[in-house]
Amino acid sequence: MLLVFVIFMVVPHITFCFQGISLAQSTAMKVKIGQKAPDFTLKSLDGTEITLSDYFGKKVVMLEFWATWCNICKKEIPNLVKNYNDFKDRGFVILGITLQSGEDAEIQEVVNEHGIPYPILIDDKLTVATKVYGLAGPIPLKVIIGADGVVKYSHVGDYPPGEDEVPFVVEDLIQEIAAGQ
Amino acid sequence: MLIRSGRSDGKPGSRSLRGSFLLCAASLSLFFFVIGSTSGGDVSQPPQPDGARAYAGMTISRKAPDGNRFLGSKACASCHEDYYRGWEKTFHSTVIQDARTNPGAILADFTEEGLPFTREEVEYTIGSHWDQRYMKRIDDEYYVLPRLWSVQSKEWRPYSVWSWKKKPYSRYCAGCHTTFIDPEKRTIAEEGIGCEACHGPGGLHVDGGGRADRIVNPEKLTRERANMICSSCHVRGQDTSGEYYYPVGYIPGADLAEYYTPLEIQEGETAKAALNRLYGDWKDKMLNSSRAKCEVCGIAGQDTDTPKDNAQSDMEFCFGCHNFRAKLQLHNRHPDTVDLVCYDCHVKKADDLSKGMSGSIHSYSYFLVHTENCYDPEIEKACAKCHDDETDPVAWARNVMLTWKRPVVIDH
Repeated sequence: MLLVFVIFMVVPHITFCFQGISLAQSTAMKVKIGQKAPDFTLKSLDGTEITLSDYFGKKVVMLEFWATWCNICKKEIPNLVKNYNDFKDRGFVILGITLQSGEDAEIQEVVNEHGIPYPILIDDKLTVATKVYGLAGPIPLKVIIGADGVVKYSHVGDYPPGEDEVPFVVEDLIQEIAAGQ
Repeated sequence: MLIRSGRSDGKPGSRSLRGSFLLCAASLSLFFFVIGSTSGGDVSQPPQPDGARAYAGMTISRKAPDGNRFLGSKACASCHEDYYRGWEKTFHSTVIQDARTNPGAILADFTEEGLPFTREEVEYTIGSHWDQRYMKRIDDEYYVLPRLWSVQSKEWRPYSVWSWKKKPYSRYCAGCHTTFIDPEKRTIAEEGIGCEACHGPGGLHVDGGGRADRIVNPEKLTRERANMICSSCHVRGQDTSGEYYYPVGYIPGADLAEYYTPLEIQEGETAKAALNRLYGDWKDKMLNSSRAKCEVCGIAGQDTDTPKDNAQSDMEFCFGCHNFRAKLQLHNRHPDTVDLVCYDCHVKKADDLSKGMSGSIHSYSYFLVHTENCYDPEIEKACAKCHDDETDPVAWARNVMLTWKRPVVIDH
Protein backbone atom coordinates (compact mmCIF):
# COMPACT_ATOMS: atom_id res chain seq x y z
CA MET A 1 0.00 0.00 0.00
CA LEU A 2 2.86 2.33 0.82
CA LEU A 3 4.43 1.65 -2.56
CA VAL A 4 1.15 2.41 -4.27
CA PHE A 5 0.85 5.61 -2.34
CA VAL A 6 4.34 6.65 -3.36
CA ILE A 7 3.79 5.81 -7.02
CA PHE A 8 0.40 7.37 -7.46
CA MET A 9 0.28 10.14 -4.89
CA VAL A 10 3.79 11.34 -4.21
CA VAL A 11 5.17 10.90 -7.70
CA PRO A 12 2.24 12.68 -9.33
CA HIS A 13 2.49 15.50 -6.85
CA ILE A 14 6.16 15.92 -7.57
CA THR A 15 5.42 15.71 -11.25
CA PHE A 16 2.76 18.40 -11.13
CA CYS A 17 4.74 20.64 -8.87
CA PHE A 18 8.18 20.53 -10.31
CA GLN A 19 8.04 19.17 -13.79
CA GLY A 20 4.79 20.45 -15.12
CA ILE A 21 1.62 19.08 -16.52
CA SER A 22 2.90 18.54 -20.03
CA LEU A 23 5.50 16.08 -18.81
CA ALA A 24 2.86 14.37 -16.70
CA GLN A 25 0.64 14.07 -19.78
CA SER A 26 3.36 12.62 -21.96
CA THR A 27 4.73 10.14 -19.44
CA ALA A 28 1.50 9.10 -17.77
CA MET A 29 1.53 5.67 -19.40
CA LYS A 30 3.56 3.66 -21.85
CA VAL A 31 0.66 2.96 -24.18
CA LYS A 32 0.43 5.82 -26.65
CA ILE A 33 -2.32 7.32 -28.74
CA GLY A 34 -2.68 5.43 -32.00
CA GLN A 35 -1.65 2.09 -30.51
CA LYS A 36 -3.95 -0.87 -30.12
CA ALA A 37 -5.31 -0.88 -26.59
CA PRO A 38 -3.81 -3.81 -24.66
CA ASP A 39 -6.48 -6.30 -23.68
CA PHE A 40 -7.18 -7.34 -20.11
CA THR A 41 -9.71 -9.08 -17.95
CA LEU A 42 -10.59 -7.84 -14.46
CA LYS A 43 -13.23 -8.65 -11.91
CA SER A 44 -15.80 -5.98 -11.25
CA LEU A 45 -16.99 -5.01 -7.82
CA ASP A 46 -20.00 -7.31 -8.19
CA GLY A 47 -17.77 -10.26 -9.12
CA THR A 48 -18.39 -10.25 -12.88
CA GLU A 49 -15.34 -10.73 -15.09
CA ILE A 50 -15.03 -8.03 -17.72
CA THR A 51 -12.76 -8.26 -20.74
CA LEU A 52 -11.91 -5.09 -22.64
CA SER A 53 -11.86 -6.67 -26.07
CA ASP A 54 -15.47 -7.77 -25.68
CA TYR A 55 -16.39 -4.15 -26.38
CA PHE A 56 -14.28 -3.81 -29.50
CA GLY A 57 -16.38 -3.39 -32.63
CA LYS A 58 -19.37 -2.35 -30.52
CA LYS A 59 -18.60 0.46 -28.15
CA VAL A 60 -16.37 3.37 -27.40
CA VAL A 61 -14.65 2.63 -24.09
CA MET A 62 -13.18 5.04 -21.59
CA LEU A 63 -10.82 3.59 -19.01
CA GLU A 64 -10.84 5.74 -15.91
CA PHE A 65 -7.89 4.89 -13.69
CA TRP A 66 -8.77 6.04 -10.19
CA ALA A 67 -8.61 5.15 -6.49
CA THR A 68 -10.63 5.90 -3.39
CA TRP A 69 -7.73 7.82 -1.85
CA CYS A 70 -7.56 10.16 -4.84
CA ASN A 71 -9.64 13.22 -4.00
CA ILE A 72 -9.49 14.68 -7.49
CA CYS A 73 -10.76 11.35 -8.84
CA LYS A 74 -13.72 11.39 -6.47
CA LYS A 75 -14.48 15.04 -7.11
CA GLU A 76 -14.95 14.45 -10.82
CA ILE A 77 -17.15 11.36 -10.48
CA PRO A 78 -20.41 13.34 -10.92
CA ASN A 79 -19.13 14.59 -14.26
CA LEU A 80 -18.15 11.08 -15.30
CA VAL A 81 -21.60 9.81 -14.36
CA LYS A 82 -23.16 12.58 -16.44
CA ASN A 83 -21.00 11.73 -19.45
CA TYR A 84 -21.83 8.06 -19.07
CA ASN A 85 -25.55 8.71 -18.86
CA ASP A 86 -25.44 11.11 -21.81
CA PHE A 87 -23.81 8.58 -24.15
CA LYS A 88 -24.41 5.08 -22.78
CA ASP A 89 -27.38 4.39 -25.04
CA ARG A 90 -25.38 5.34 -28.11
CA GLY A 91 -22.49 2.95 -27.64
CA PHE A 92 -20.31 4.30 -24.84
CA VAL A 93 -19.09 2.66 -21.67
CA ILE A 94 -16.80 3.74 -18.88
CA LEU A 95 -14.71 1.15 -17.07
CA GLY A 96 -13.53 2.49 -13.73
CA ILE A 97 -10.24 0.73 -13.04
CA THR A 98 -9.68 0.98 -9.33
CA LEU A 99 -6.10 1.00 -8.18
CA GLN A 100 -5.36 -0.50 -4.79
CA SER A 101 -7.92 1.13 -2.53
CA GLY A 102 -8.37 -1.07 0.50
CA GLU A 103 -11.36 -3.29 1.09
CA ASP A 104 -14.10 -3.67 -1.51
CA ALA A 105 -16.50 -2.20 1.02
CA GLU A 106 -14.58 1.04 0.92
CA ILE A 107 -14.88 1.17 -2.86
CA GLN A 108 -18.56 0.22 -2.66
CA GLU A 109 -19.11 3.15 -0.33
CA VAL A 110 -17.85 5.58 -2.96
CA VAL A 111 -19.94 3.84 -5.63
CA ASN A 112 -23.05 4.16 -3.47
CA GLU A 113 -22.35 7.74 -2.52
CA HIS A 114 -22.15 8.86 -6.13
CA GLY A 115 -24.51 6.30 -7.65
CA ILE A 116 -21.85 5.18 -10.11
CA PRO A 117 -23.69 3.30 -12.86
CA TYR A 118 -20.71 2.06 -14.87
CA PRO A 119 -18.63 -1.03 -14.06
CA ILE A 120 -16.00 -0.60 -11.38
CA LEU A 121 -13.12 -3.02 -11.89
CA ILE A 122 -10.67 -4.03 -9.20
CA ASP A 123 -6.99 -3.80 -10.04
CA ASP A 124 -5.67 -4.25 -6.54
CA LYS A 125 -2.44 -5.84 -7.73
CA LEU A 126 -1.96 -3.03 -10.26
CA THR A 127 -1.65 -5.62 -13.01
CA VAL A 128 -3.51 -3.62 -15.62
CA ALA A 129 -2.38 -0.21 -14.41
CA THR A 130 1.34 -0.78 -14.28
CA LYS A 131 2.13 -3.96 -16.21
CA VAL A 132 -0.39 -3.72 -19.05
CA TYR A 133 -0.80 0.04 -19.52
CA GLY A 134 2.43 1.11 -17.88
CA LEU A 135 1.06 3.88 -15.71
CA ALA A 136 3.92 5.84 -14.24
CA GLY A 137 2.27 9.15 -13.50
CA PRO A 138 -0.71 10.75 -11.85
CA ILE A 139 -4.31 9.69 -11.67
CA PRO A 140 -7.04 10.25 -12.61
CA LEU A 141 -6.03 9.13 -16.04
CA LYS A 142 -8.56 8.77 -18.84
CA VAL A 143 -7.90 6.59 -21.84
CA ILE A 144 -10.53 6.63 -24.58
CA ILE A 145 -10.53 3.70 -26.97
CA GLY A 146 -12.42 3.72 -30.25
CA ALA A 147 -14.62 0.88 -31.40
CA ASP A 148 -11.68 -0.27 -33.50
CA GLY A 149 -9.76 -0.97 -30.29
CA VAL A 150 -7.25 1.81 -30.85
CA VAL A 151 -6.35 4.36 -28.18
CA LYS A 152 -7.64 7.71 -29.44
CA TYR A 153 -7.24 10.07 -26.52
CA SER A 154 -5.80 10.28 -23.04
CA HIS A 155 -5.90 12.93 -20.35
CA VAL A 156 -4.26 13.25 -16.97
CA GLY A 157 -6.13 15.04 -14.20
CA ASP A 158 -9.56 16.55 -14.11
CA TYR A 159 -10.85 19.38 -16.27
CA PRO A 160 -11.61 22.94 -15.25
CA PRO A 161 -15.34 23.67 -15.50
CA GLY A 162 -16.37 23.96 -19.13
CA GLU A 163 -13.22 22.38 -20.52
CA ASP A 164 -14.17 18.70 -20.40
CA GLU A 165 -13.14 17.21 -23.72
CA VAL A 166 -14.67 13.78 -23.15
CA PRO A 167 -18.09 14.60 -24.68
CA PHE A 168 -16.41 15.90 -27.82
CA VAL A 169 -14.19 12.84 -28.15
CA VAL A 170 -16.98 10.37 -27.47
CA GLU A 171 -19.39 12.10 -29.85
CA ASP A 172 -16.85 11.93 -32.67
CA LEU A 173 -15.99 8.30 -32.02
CA ILE A 174 -19.63 7.25 -31.75
CA GLN A 175 -20.30 8.91 -35.05
CA GLU A 176 -17.48 6.88 -36.54
CA ILE A 177 -19.29 3.72 -35.40
CA ALA A 178 -22.51 4.98 -36.96
CA ALA A 179 -20.66 5.74 -40.17
CA GLY A 180 -19.28 2.22 -40.19
CA GLN A 181 -15.68 3.32 -39.94
CA MET B 1 19.24 50.69 -1.31
CA LEU B 2 16.03 52.44 -0.51
CA ILE B 3 16.99 55.89 -1.77
CA ARG B 4 15.79 55.91 -5.33
CA SER B 5 16.36 58.22 -8.19
CA GLY B 6 13.92 56.68 -10.64
CA ARG B 7 10.94 58.86 -9.90
CA SER B 8 8.30 59.49 -12.49
CA ASP B 9 8.78 62.66 -14.45
CA GLY B 10 5.08 62.89 -15.06
CA LYS B 11 5.39 63.26 -18.80
CA PRO B 12 2.83 61.25 -20.73
CA GLY B 13 5.37 60.21 -23.31
CA SER B 14 7.42 58.30 -20.79
CA ARG B 15 4.58 56.32 -19.37
CA SER B 16 4.74 53.41 -21.72
CA LEU B 17 8.43 52.99 -21.01
CA ARG B 18 7.82 52.94 -17.28
CA GLY B 19 5.00 50.47 -17.73
CA SER B 20 7.26 48.30 -19.75
CA PHE B 21 9.96 48.29 -17.14
CA LEU B 22 7.42 47.28 -14.55
CA LEU B 23 6.83 44.00 -16.24
CA CYS B 24 10.30 43.60 -17.63
CA ALA B 25 11.44 43.36 -14.09
CA ALA B 26 9.55 40.16 -13.63
CA SER B 27 12.08 38.49 -15.90
CA LEU B 28 9.72 38.68 -18.81
CA SER B 29 11.64 40.98 -21.03
CA LEU B 30 9.25 40.59 -23.92
CA PHE B 31 6.65 42.43 -21.90
CA PHE B 32 8.68 45.54 -22.51
CA PHE B 33 7.53 45.63 -26.05
CA VAL B 34 4.09 44.27 -25.36
CA ILE B 35 2.93 46.82 -22.87
CA GLY B 36 4.96 49.58 -24.33
CA SER B 37 3.22 49.33 -27.61
CA THR B 38 -0.30 48.52 -26.55
CA SER B 39 -1.20 50.26 -23.39
CA GLY B 40 0.99 53.17 -22.76
CA GLY B 41 -0.51 55.70 -25.12
CA ASP B 42 -1.51 59.27 -24.48
CA VAL B 43 -4.59 59.17 -22.28
CA SER B 44 -6.10 62.10 -24.15
CA GLN B 45 -6.35 60.03 -27.30
CA PRO B 46 -10.00 59.60 -28.24
CA PRO B 47 -11.53 56.17 -27.91
CA GLN B 48 -12.26 54.14 -31.00
CA PRO B 49 -15.42 55.25 -32.79
CA ASP B 50 -18.44 53.09 -33.45
CA GLY B 51 -17.87 50.69 -36.31
CA ALA B 52 -14.10 50.65 -35.87
CA ARG B 53 -12.54 47.24 -36.23
CA ALA B 54 -11.68 45.86 -32.81
CA TYR B 55 -10.31 42.33 -33.00
CA ALA B 56 -11.19 38.77 -33.92
CA GLY B 57 -13.81 39.89 -36.40
CA MET B 58 -15.61 42.20 -33.98
CA THR B 59 -16.30 45.90 -34.29
CA ILE B 60 -16.81 48.67 -31.77
CA SER B 61 -20.32 49.67 -30.68
CA ARG B 62 -20.80 52.12 -27.83
CA LYS B 63 -24.50 51.45 -27.36
CA ALA B 64 -25.52 50.12 -23.97
CA PRO B 65 -28.75 48.15 -23.55
CA ASP B 66 -30.41 50.66 -21.21
CA GLY B 67 -30.01 53.72 -23.45
CA ASN B 68 -26.73 54.61 -21.85
CA ARG B 69 -23.49 54.47 -23.83
CA PHE B 70 -19.98 53.22 -23.30
CA LEU B 71 -17.06 55.58 -23.57
CA GLY B 72 -13.96 53.40 -23.45
CA SER B 73 -11.29 53.41 -20.78
CA LYS B 74 -9.28 56.22 -22.31
CA ALA B 75 -12.20 58.56 -21.79
CA CYS B 76 -12.18 57.72 -18.08
CA ALA B 77 -8.54 58.77 -17.85
CA SER B 78 -9.31 62.44 -18.37
CA CYS B 79 -10.71 62.62 -14.83
CA HIS B 80 -9.39 59.44 -13.21
CA GLU B 81 -5.83 59.29 -14.45
CA ASP B 82 -4.40 57.53 -11.38
CA TYR B 83 -6.86 54.72 -11.75
CA TYR B 84 -6.33 54.57 -15.48
CA ARG B 85 -2.58 54.32 -15.11
CA GLY B 86 -3.00 51.50 -12.65
CA TRP B 87 -5.51 49.70 -14.81
CA GLU B 88 -3.45 49.87 -17.98
CA LYS B 89 -0.69 47.97 -16.19
CA THR B 90 -2.99 45.17 -15.21
CA PHE B 91 -3.47 42.02 -17.19
CA HIS B 92 -7.11 42.98 -17.56
CA SER B 93 -6.08 45.65 -20.03
CA THR B 94 -3.78 43.43 -22.05
CA VAL B 95 -5.70 40.18 -22.00
CA ILE B 96 -5.91 40.21 -25.80
CA GLN B 97 -3.07 41.38 -28.01
CA ASP B 98 -2.73 41.49 -31.77
CA ALA B 99 0.30 39.38 -32.62
CA ARG B 100 0.36 40.63 -36.19
CA THR B 101 0.86 44.26 -35.26
CA ASN B 102 2.71 43.45 -32.05
CA PRO B 103 4.79 40.29 -32.54
CA GLY B 104 6.53 40.87 -29.23
CA ALA B 105 3.29 39.91 -27.51
CA ILE B 106 4.10 36.26 -28.19
CA LEU B 107 5.97 34.91 -25.18
CA ALA B 108 6.27 31.26 -26.20
CA ASP B 109 9.29 29.39 -27.46
CA PHE B 110 8.43 28.23 -30.96
CA THR B 111 11.72 26.42 -31.47
CA GLU B 112 10.33 23.32 -29.80
CA GLU B 113 9.75 20.52 -32.27
CA GLY B 114 6.39 18.95 -32.95
CA LEU B 115 4.17 21.92 -32.23
CA PRO B 116 0.87 21.72 -34.09
CA PHE B 117 1.04 25.35 -35.26
CA THR B 118 3.65 27.90 -36.15
CA ARG B 119 4.40 31.32 -34.76
CA GLU B 120 3.36 32.82 -38.07
CA GLU B 121 -0.14 31.36 -37.72
CA VAL B 122 -0.77 33.19 -34.46
CA GLU B 123 -3.05 36.20 -34.95
CA TYR B 124 -3.85 37.04 -31.35
CA THR B 125 -2.46 36.19 -27.95
CA ILE B 126 -4.69 35.65 -24.94
CA GLY B 127 -3.20 36.27 -21.51
CA SER B 128 0.38 37.05 -20.64
CA HIS B 129 1.06 36.23 -17.02
CA TRP B 130 -0.02 32.70 -16.13
CA ASP B 131 -0.75 31.00 -19.40
CA GLN B 132 -0.69 32.40 -22.87
CA ARG B 133 -3.00 30.96 -25.48
CA TYR B 134 -2.92 31.61 -29.19
CA MET B 135 -5.67 32.25 -31.66
CA LYS B 136 -6.09 32.07 -35.41
CA ARG B 137 -8.90 32.50 -37.88
CA ILE B 138 -10.39 29.54 -39.72
CA ASP B 139 -13.10 30.51 -42.23
CA ASP B 140 -15.26 33.08 -40.46
CA GLU B 141 -14.34 32.23 -36.89
CA TYR B 142 -11.43 32.44 -34.54
CA TYR B 143 -10.22 29.46 -32.53
CA VAL B 144 -7.83 29.01 -29.64
CA LEU B 145 -5.00 26.75 -30.77
CA PRO B 146 -4.35 23.39 -29.02
CA ARG B 147 -1.23 24.21 -27.05
CA LEU B 148 -0.79 26.88 -24.42
CA TRP B 149 2.43 28.38 -23.20
CA SER B 150 2.86 28.35 -19.45
CA VAL B 151 4.49 31.69 -18.83
CA GLN B 152 5.44 30.77 -15.29
CA SER B 153 7.10 27.44 -16.04
CA LYS B 154 8.14 28.30 -19.59
CA GLU B 155 6.80 25.17 -21.21
CA TRP B 156 4.12 24.12 -23.66
CA ARG B 157 1.05 22.33 -22.38
CA PRO B 158 -1.78 20.64 -24.23
CA TYR B 159 -5.00 22.63 -24.40
CA SER B 160 -8.27 21.28 -25.79
CA VAL B 161 -6.27 19.07 -28.11
CA TRP B 162 -9.32 17.23 -29.41
CA SER B 163 -12.04 19.85 -29.29
CA TRP B 164 -10.36 23.16 -30.11
CA LYS B 165 -11.92 23.37 -33.56
CA LYS B 166 -15.34 22.82 -32.04
CA LYS B 167 -15.07 25.78 -29.69
CA PRO B 168 -15.37 29.05 -31.59
CA TYR B 169 -13.82 31.88 -29.66
CA SER B 170 -16.86 34.14 -30.01
CA ARG B 171 -19.05 31.56 -28.31
CA TYR B 172 -16.77 30.20 -25.63
CA CYS B 173 -14.32 32.91 -24.66
CA ALA B 174 -14.79 36.41 -26.04
CA GLY B 175 -17.19 37.71 -23.39
CA CYS B 176 -14.55 37.71 -20.69
CA HIS B 177 -11.82 39.25 -22.81
CA THR B 178 -13.84 42.29 -23.79
CA THR B 179 -16.03 45.02 -22.40
CA PHE B 180 -19.70 44.37 -23.17
CA ILE B 181 -20.04 42.05 -26.11
CA ASP B 182 -23.06 41.50 -28.32
CA PRO B 183 -22.16 38.14 -29.87
CA GLU B 184 -25.07 38.19 -32.32
CA LYS B 185 -24.01 41.53 -33.80
CA ARG B 186 -20.35 40.71 -33.17
CA THR B 187 -19.77 44.04 -31.50
CA ILE B 188 -17.92 45.01 -28.35
CA ALA B 189 -17.68 48.27 -26.43
CA GLU B 190 -13.93 47.98 -25.97
CA GLU B 191 -11.10 45.52 -26.44
CA GLY B 192 -9.84 44.05 -23.21
CA ILE B 193 -11.44 44.27 -19.80
CA GLY B 194 -11.87 48.01 -19.53
CA CYS B 195 -13.10 50.29 -16.77
CA GLU B 196 -16.70 49.88 -17.86
CA ALA B 197 -16.49 46.09 -17.66
CA CYS B 198 -16.79 46.57 -13.90
CA HIS B 199 -18.39 50.01 -13.63
CA GLY B 200 -20.91 49.73 -16.46
CA PRO B 201 -21.39 52.31 -19.20
CA GLY B 202 -20.09 55.77 -18.31
CA GLY B 203 -22.06 57.96 -20.72
CA LEU B 204 -24.64 59.25 -18.25
CA HIS B 205 -21.94 59.78 -15.65
CA VAL B 206 -20.08 62.11 -17.99
CA ASP B 207 -23.26 63.81 -19.22
CA GLY B 208 -24.06 64.57 -15.61
CA GLY B 209 -20.74 66.30 -15.07
CA GLY B 210 -19.23 63.29 -13.34
CA ARG B 211 -22.17 62.62 -11.04
CA ALA B 212 -21.24 59.66 -8.90
CA ASP B 213 -24.78 58.32 -8.83
CA ARG B 214 -24.84 57.84 -12.58
CA ILE B 215 -22.26 55.10 -12.79
CA VAL B 216 -21.83 51.85 -10.93
CA ASN B 217 -19.47 52.00 -7.99
CA PRO B 218 -19.06 48.43 -6.76
CA GLU B 219 -18.35 49.73 -3.26
CA LYS B 220 -21.84 51.20 -3.12
CA LEU B 221 -23.53 48.01 -4.23
CA THR B 222 -24.58 45.26 -1.90
CA ARG B 223 -21.80 42.76 -1.31
CA GLU B 224 -23.68 40.22 -3.39
CA ARG B 225 -24.14 42.53 -6.38
CA ALA B 226 -20.53 43.69 -6.18
CA ASN B 227 -19.29 40.11 -6.11
CA MET B 228 -21.44 39.35 -9.13
CA ILE B 229 -19.31 41.69 -11.21
CA CYS B 230 -16.27 39.50 -10.61
CA SER B 231 -18.34 36.33 -10.81
CA SER B 232 -19.47 37.22 -14.32
CA CYS B 233 -16.06 35.99 -15.47
CA HIS B 234 -14.38 34.32 -12.49
CA VAL B 235 -17.19 31.79 -12.19
CA ARG B 236 -17.70 29.72 -15.29
CA GLY B 237 -21.18 29.44 -16.64
CA GLN B 238 -23.57 29.80 -19.56
CA ASP B 239 -25.96 32.55 -20.59
CA THR B 240 -29.69 32.02 -20.49
CA SER B 241 -29.80 30.72 -24.06
CA GLY B 242 -27.18 28.10 -23.25
CA GLU B 243 -25.36 29.19 -26.40
CA TYR B 244 -22.65 31.33 -24.89
CA TYR B 245 -20.22 30.71 -22.07
CA TYR B 246 -20.46 34.22 -20.65
CA PRO B 247 -23.39 36.35 -19.44
CA VAL B 248 -24.68 37.98 -22.60
CA GLY B 249 -26.37 41.32 -21.86
CA TYR B 250 -25.19 41.59 -18.26
CA ILE B 251 -24.32 45.06 -17.02
CA PRO B 252 -22.48 45.56 -13.70
CA GLY B 253 -24.90 46.25 -10.89
CA ALA B 254 -27.61 43.97 -12.29
CA ASP B 255 -28.55 40.57 -10.90
CA LEU B 256 -26.11 38.26 -12.64
CA ALA B 257 -28.28 35.25 -11.86
CA GLU B 258 -30.80 36.52 -14.41
CA TYR B 259 -28.19 36.29 -17.13
CA TYR B 260 -25.91 33.46 -16.12
CA THR B 261 -26.03 29.92 -14.76
CA PRO B 262 -22.83 28.45 -13.32
CA LEU B 263 -21.64 25.23 -14.91
CA GLU B 264 -21.08 23.78 -11.47
CA ILE B 265 -24.58 24.47 -10.17
CA GLN B 266 -25.76 21.70 -7.90
CA GLU B 267 -29.08 19.91 -7.98
CA GLY B 268 -31.71 22.01 -6.25
CA GLU B 269 -29.45 25.03 -6.05
CA THR B 270 -30.50 28.40 -7.45
CA ALA B 271 -28.23 30.20 -9.88
CA LYS B 272 -27.75 32.98 -7.33
CA ALA B 273 -26.76 30.56 -4.59
CA ALA B 274 -24.38 28.78 -6.93
CA LEU B 275 -22.80 32.07 -7.95
CA ASN B 276 -22.30 33.04 -4.33
CA ARG B 277 -20.85 29.65 -3.46
CA LEU B 278 -18.50 29.40 -6.42
CA TYR B 279 -17.33 32.99 -6.13
CA GLY B 280 -16.61 32.31 -2.46
CA ASP B 281 -14.56 29.27 -3.47
CA TRP B 282 -12.61 31.30 -5.98
CA LYS B 283 -11.99 34.10 -3.52
CA ASP B 284 -10.84 31.65 -0.84
CA LYS B 285 -8.40 30.19 -3.30
CA MET B 286 -7.04 33.65 -3.98
CA LEU B 287 -6.85 34.51 -0.30
CA ASN B 288 -4.88 31.37 0.34
CA SER B 289 -2.27 32.48 -2.13
CA SER B 290 -2.30 36.09 -0.96
CA ARG B 291 1.20 35.98 0.42
CA ALA B 292 2.47 35.78 -3.10
CA LYS B 293 0.11 38.50 -4.25
CA CYS B 294 2.65 40.97 -5.57
CA GLU B 295 3.94 38.48 -8.08
CA VAL B 296 0.71 38.73 -10.01
CA CYS B 297 1.60 42.30 -10.78
CA GLY B 298 5.08 41.47 -12.00
CA ILE B 299 6.42 44.24 -9.84
CA ALA B 300 10.09 45.09 -10.00
CA GLY B 301 12.16 44.34 -6.95
CA GLN B 302 10.49 41.03 -6.20
CA ASP B 303 13.60 39.50 -7.65
CA THR B 304 16.56 40.92 -5.79
CA ASP B 305 18.60 40.92 -8.98
CA THR B 306 16.20 43.30 -10.61
CA PRO B 307 16.96 47.01 -10.54
CA LYS B 308 14.50 49.12 -8.60
CA ASP B 309 14.95 52.20 -10.71
CA ASN B 310 11.31 52.12 -11.67
CA ALA B 311 9.92 51.85 -8.20
CA GLN B 312 7.69 54.88 -8.53
CA SER B 313 6.09 53.39 -11.58
CA ASP B 314 5.39 50.27 -9.56
CA MET B 315 3.68 52.34 -6.93
CA GLU B 316 1.46 53.83 -9.59
CA PHE B 317 0.36 50.30 -10.29
CA CYS B 318 -0.66 49.89 -6.65
CA PHE B 319 -2.33 53.28 -6.53
CA GLY B 320 -4.42 52.30 -9.52
CA CYS B 321 -6.65 50.25 -7.24
CA HIS B 322 -5.48 51.27 -3.76
CA ASN B 323 -5.81 55.01 -3.66
CA PHE B 324 -3.65 55.60 -0.60
CA ARG B 325 -0.94 57.81 -2.03
CA ALA B 326 -1.61 60.44 0.64
CA LYS B 327 -1.55 57.89 3.45
CA LEU B 328 1.56 56.00 2.46
CA GLN B 329 3.97 57.78 4.75
CA LEU B 330 1.54 57.44 7.63
CA HIS B 331 1.35 53.75 6.93
CA ASN B 332 5.05 52.95 6.65
CA ARG B 333 6.24 55.47 9.31
CA HIS B 334 9.36 56.31 7.36
CA PRO B 335 10.31 59.77 6.13
CA ASP B 336 9.56 60.28 2.46
CA THR B 337 13.27 60.59 1.73
CA VAL B 338 13.50 56.85 2.29
CA ASP B 339 11.09 56.31 -0.57
CA LEU B 340 9.74 52.93 0.48
CA VAL B 341 7.60 50.92 -1.88
CA CYS B 342 5.15 48.19 -0.98
CA TYR B 343 7.40 45.24 -1.63
CA ASP B 344 10.23 46.55 0.50
CA CYS B 345 8.20 45.32 3.47
CA HIS B 346 5.60 42.99 1.98
CA VAL B 347 7.96 40.35 0.69
CA LYS B 348 6.58 37.59 -1.46
CA LYS B 349 6.60 34.10 -0.05
CA ALA B 350 6.09 31.65 -2.86
CA ASP B 351 8.80 31.16 -5.45
CA ASP B 352 6.48 30.09 -8.16
CA LEU B 353 2.73 30.48 -8.02
CA SER B 354 2.28 27.80 -10.62
CA LYS B 355 3.77 25.14 -8.39
CA GLY B 356 1.23 22.69 -7.21
CA MET B 357 -1.47 24.08 -9.43
CA SER B 358 -3.04 21.99 -12.12
CA GLY B 359 -5.49 22.63 -14.84
CA SER B 360 -6.22 25.92 -16.39
CA ILE B 361 -5.15 28.99 -14.48
CA HIS B 362 -7.10 32.13 -15.18
CA SER B 363 -7.18 33.95 -11.91
CA TYR B 364 -5.14 36.76 -10.47
CA SER B 365 -4.78 37.42 -6.78
CA TYR B 366 -5.12 41.05 -5.80
CA PHE B 367 -6.30 40.38 -2.29
CA LEU B 368 -4.21 41.84 0.44
CA VAL B 369 -4.73 39.93 3.64
CA HIS B 370 -2.13 39.11 6.22
CA THR B 371 -2.16 36.90 9.21
CA GLU B 372 -2.53 38.27 12.73
CA ASN B 373 -5.02 41.03 12.08
CA CYS B 374 -3.26 42.61 9.19
CA TYR B 375 0.20 42.33 10.70
CA ASP B 376 2.65 40.20 8.80
CA PRO B 377 5.56 38.91 10.94
CA GLU B 378 7.58 38.45 7.77
CA ILE B 379 7.92 42.21 7.65
CA GLU B 380 10.30 42.07 10.60
CA LYS B 381 12.77 40.20 8.44
CA ALA B 382 12.42 42.77 5.68
CA CYS B 383 13.35 45.57 8.11
CA ALA B 384 16.74 43.96 8.60
CA LYS B 385 17.61 44.67 4.98
CA CYS B 386 18.28 48.28 5.89
CA HIS B 387 18.45 48.26 9.70
CA ASP B 388 21.31 45.81 9.76
CA ASP B 389 23.32 47.96 12.14
CA GLU B 390 21.15 46.72 15.01
CA THR B 391 22.54 43.83 17.08
CA ASP B 392 19.48 41.73 16.42
CA PRO B 393 17.65 43.50 13.60
CA VAL B 394 14.63 41.22 13.63
CA ALA B 395 14.09 41.53 17.37
CA TRP B 396 14.67 45.26 17.08
CA ALA B 397 12.06 45.50 14.36
CA ARG B 398 9.57 43.59 16.42
CA ASN B 399 10.07 45.89 19.37
CA VAL B 400 9.72 48.99 17.24
CA MET B 401 6.52 47.75 15.77
CA LEU B 402 5.17 46.85 19.18
CA THR B 403 5.59 50.50 20.12
CA TRP B 404 3.44 51.36 17.13
CA LYS B 405 0.63 49.34 18.78
CA ARG B 406 -0.84 48.33 15.45
CA PRO B 407 -0.12 48.74 11.78
CA VAL B 408 -1.76 51.64 10.04
CA VAL B 409 -4.31 49.99 7.86
CA ILE B 410 -4.69 51.93 4.68
CA ASP B 411 -7.49 50.58 2.60
CA HIS B 412 -8.41 47.09 3.53
